[in-house]
Amino acid sequence: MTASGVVLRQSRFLTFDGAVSVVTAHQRPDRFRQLEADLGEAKRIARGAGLSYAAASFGEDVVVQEMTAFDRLLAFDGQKRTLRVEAGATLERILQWALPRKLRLAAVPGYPRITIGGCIAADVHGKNPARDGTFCDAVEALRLFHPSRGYVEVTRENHPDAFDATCGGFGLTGVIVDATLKLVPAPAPNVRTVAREVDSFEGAARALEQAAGADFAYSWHDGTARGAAFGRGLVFTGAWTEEPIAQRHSGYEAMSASSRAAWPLGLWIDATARSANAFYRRRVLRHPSRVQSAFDADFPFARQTLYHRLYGRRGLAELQLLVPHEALGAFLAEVAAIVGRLGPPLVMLSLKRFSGRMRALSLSGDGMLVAMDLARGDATTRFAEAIDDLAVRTRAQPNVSKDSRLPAPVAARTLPHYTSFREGLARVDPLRLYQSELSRRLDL
Amino acid sequence: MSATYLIVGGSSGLGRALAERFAAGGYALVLVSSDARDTEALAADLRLRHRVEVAAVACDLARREVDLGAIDRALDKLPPLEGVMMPAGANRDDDRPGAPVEQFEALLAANFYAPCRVVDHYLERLRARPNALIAGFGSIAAVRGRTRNAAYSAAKRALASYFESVRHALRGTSVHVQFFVLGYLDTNLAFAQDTKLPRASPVKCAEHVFRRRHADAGVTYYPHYWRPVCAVLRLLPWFVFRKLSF
Repeated sequence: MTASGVVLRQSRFLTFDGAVSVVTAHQRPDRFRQLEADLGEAKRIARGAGLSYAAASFGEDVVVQEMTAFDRLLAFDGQKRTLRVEAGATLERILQWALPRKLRLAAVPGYPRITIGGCIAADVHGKNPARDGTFCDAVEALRLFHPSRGYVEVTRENHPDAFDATCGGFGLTGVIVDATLKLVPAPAPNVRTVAREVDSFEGAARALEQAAGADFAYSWHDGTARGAAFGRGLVFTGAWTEEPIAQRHSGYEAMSASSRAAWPLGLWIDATARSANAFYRRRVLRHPSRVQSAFDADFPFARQTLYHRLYGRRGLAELQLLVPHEALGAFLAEVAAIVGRLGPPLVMLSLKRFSGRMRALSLSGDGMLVAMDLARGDATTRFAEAIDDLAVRTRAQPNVSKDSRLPAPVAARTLPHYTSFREGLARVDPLRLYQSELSRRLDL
Repeated sequence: MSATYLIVGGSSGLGRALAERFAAGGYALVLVSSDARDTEALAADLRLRHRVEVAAVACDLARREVDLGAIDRALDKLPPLEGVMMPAGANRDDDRPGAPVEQFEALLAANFYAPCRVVDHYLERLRARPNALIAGFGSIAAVRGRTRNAAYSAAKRALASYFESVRHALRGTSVHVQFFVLGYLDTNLAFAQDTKLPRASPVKCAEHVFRRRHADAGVTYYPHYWRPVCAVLRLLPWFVFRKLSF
């Protein structure tokens, strides 16, 4: 405890991809007075579940303010269908309350322990962002805390600059204390998912276009395929259904960045990835149509932690880029060429149609999201650098929250709102109290 | 459930976990803490998620004279009071012999006077219930006097003695008086401490209290292994104890 009553300890923080690790001061406020405690001029950043692939919630000599105790549901307006919740509330907590009331969030990212503050800070997306938009589309209002201004209620109307800079602003405008979220009707308790085989990215893109109105629509591609086979995969579409699920699961073991990295060795090498992908493809195609609970459809990795843990301590790299539709063919052709040339340990790829309209650092505009998962290593580093160059040439936008090594010059040249966000930050937080490894790396 | 539990210190740590557990059990609650913002937020959450009646009351316990009028008014609007739990407490890193008198008084007030005052005030109401609970919370820090936590430990040891007196006074009645001696819990009190033994989950501790709410248990150590550890610490001769640093 410091003289000002702040309870701090030194903790080690790790990105989910295992690439960045820092020991720094850690505060875990569980009362408003502790949140407001005087940290002097110390740099600080809010932290939710700590599941970001990038170091958005910690940095060297930055006080990490863990917001997990601020996880309460504050108010529900049944007429407007709005729920006011504290920033540390997890998706799981909200959906556990909302689903029995036949309500849900329009955009739900892939892990249940992600907090609302994290969802807003990274402006995450769900299973069909082209139809549902991004998470911040559902944000009606925010309450921000900044030591120099206290608590400020921020909406699109009363503080448009602060609202825009906070939605997808990675916590750099202050601490998001709570948010008012618009809920949507949950049409049914379960989801029927149908998988179909595709032999190319073009085939997947066409199938996803045809499924533009589906509740869930995304593809999976075998990262170990080469030559003409590169792009073969599966397209998944899903629809809400009242049909019962075949097997009801109980709980799950929560995964953290450190538990993901518990195994000292990474086991995703070419042989294991090739075998696992072939097995996965066969298993899905054996039962291409199945009914899952909303939980399992929303959070496919909650009960399936092996995929991420197999990357081991060295970790994984996920490159996710928003590629303009008109550039998609050329982009994927070039990816295939780079893969052939550099031979990175690529495990899988995924496509998803996207539409976003936030104006901070998150993905913005229309296009196809292309995600690539690789085992971390030298070949992956060279591959990522080649993809950086490709992104600049094709005007593709890298997802800042997925890429823990994205360099500032690439961000500046590819993110459409980089410059305006940087200038806006200087107005919203002139002392730049809120910083992270991410903000420093991106020269914000 | 047509009964109310009063939780003094019910906004964070163990108090919050108790509030969560008893709300999940269907009880109405009155939550008391020094900052209304904390208790009102928790009360709103419990009302929404568990559909129980919850009142939030702000009350500064770090004073000798505690005004219990606001708590009384909140209780009057709820089902009959069935239990009083007092996980409230305060400690400081600079709590050592020779500290300023205001600091000493505040620590005694929060850790001893206020809990005793609350117990006394609600004794008669609780006697009228068929299965009532008074739960106090002590600390393993009070097992022997140390340089650190001087006033805190003294207050907690005094509280343990007072609870023993209350239990004795209420023998043969339907009021169960329980005193929980707590080891390290994973709350902000221990957050920055280099604890020698693992920190227990406040959620599990709250579950333990909930399950035993109708038991005539007297003194309980939580986690249980602290009972033999404390017994050994009590038996240590001074020439050994004075060399210990913990």
